[in-house]
Amino acid sequence: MKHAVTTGSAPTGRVNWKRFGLMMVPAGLVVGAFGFATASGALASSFVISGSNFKVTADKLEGEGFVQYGRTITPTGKGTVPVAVSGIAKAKITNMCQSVAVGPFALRLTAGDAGKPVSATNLVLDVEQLAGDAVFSDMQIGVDASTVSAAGKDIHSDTKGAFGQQAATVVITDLDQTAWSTTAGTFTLPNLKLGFGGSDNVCK
Amino acid sequence: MSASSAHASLAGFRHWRRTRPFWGGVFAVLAGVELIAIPYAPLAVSIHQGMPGVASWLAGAMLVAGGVLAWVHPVQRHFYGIITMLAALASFPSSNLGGFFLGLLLGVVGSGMIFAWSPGRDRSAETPGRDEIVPGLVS
Repeated sequence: MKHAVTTGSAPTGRVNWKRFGLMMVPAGLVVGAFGFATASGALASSFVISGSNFKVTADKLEGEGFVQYGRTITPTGKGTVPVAVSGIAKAKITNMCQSVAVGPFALRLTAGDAGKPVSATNLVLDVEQLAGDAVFSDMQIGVDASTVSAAGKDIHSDTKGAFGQQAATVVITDLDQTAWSTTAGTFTLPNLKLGFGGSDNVCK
Repeated sequence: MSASSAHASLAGFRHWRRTRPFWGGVFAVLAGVELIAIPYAPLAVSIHQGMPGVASWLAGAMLVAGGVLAWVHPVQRHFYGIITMLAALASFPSSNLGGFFLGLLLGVVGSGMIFAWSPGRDRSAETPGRDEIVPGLVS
């Protein structure tokens, strides 16, 4: 690329900040509108998070179509971790709090604490640890994990003959869990708040 | 590599950087990488999830591609600037609230800088003046 110094056919240039500012006005308006629509629960968000474990707490989780089975995951640099895959076709979560440690800080997200619950569809969680008071209805324990179907035909294990369980509905109160990944088809987050704080900023 | 050729390649890189929307491209590529890195681990899960899982990759991939293309083909910077801007904005509902705002912010700033970059305004340029009269550059 030595010749590029001497030929110089392309002119050097710079950012025209006035034009940059003109571009930022509509972009800022769109971001503001998205933020407002998400916080008021009108716009559904999509979450796909994994690679480090995080904490989720909620006052109440009501789910329709629940399946659960075991599998192992291998997060980068963490070895093999056994998790319980929990799939819920439709979930309503009251007073949800989700926090993840990022170095010396903690990112904390809360939603569904102003009368309108968080709602999610096709929610799949890789759970490491779960505590709470659970009530299941129409429960089947010991179903082949590859044939569980309560949360839809897409959410089931790839391992034939593994242990699985499913239920028509699930209600968990005082939920406190540690999970490795959350994926959801849609996630509606009324009254969303997101912020960074010190490492003590985690959900309790 | 001799010291003089290292110096020449450094000067070559500086020239390369100054003749295209380099920093806008850097921010757009960083934004795309951040959007993909946050959900990273099981791509199989993303595919299993269908559209929402893939959407989180799509906005990031468009930002990386747009940023790189703005370097390769600076003449088309307005088009790439607008495409990366739309991808950055679309990441908000589709990908972890725009990678928890960071990817969204980098993408919006980067695409704005790609769009607003213009050649021939640098005082140290060998051809000072309006970009419109620079031969071979129609935009």
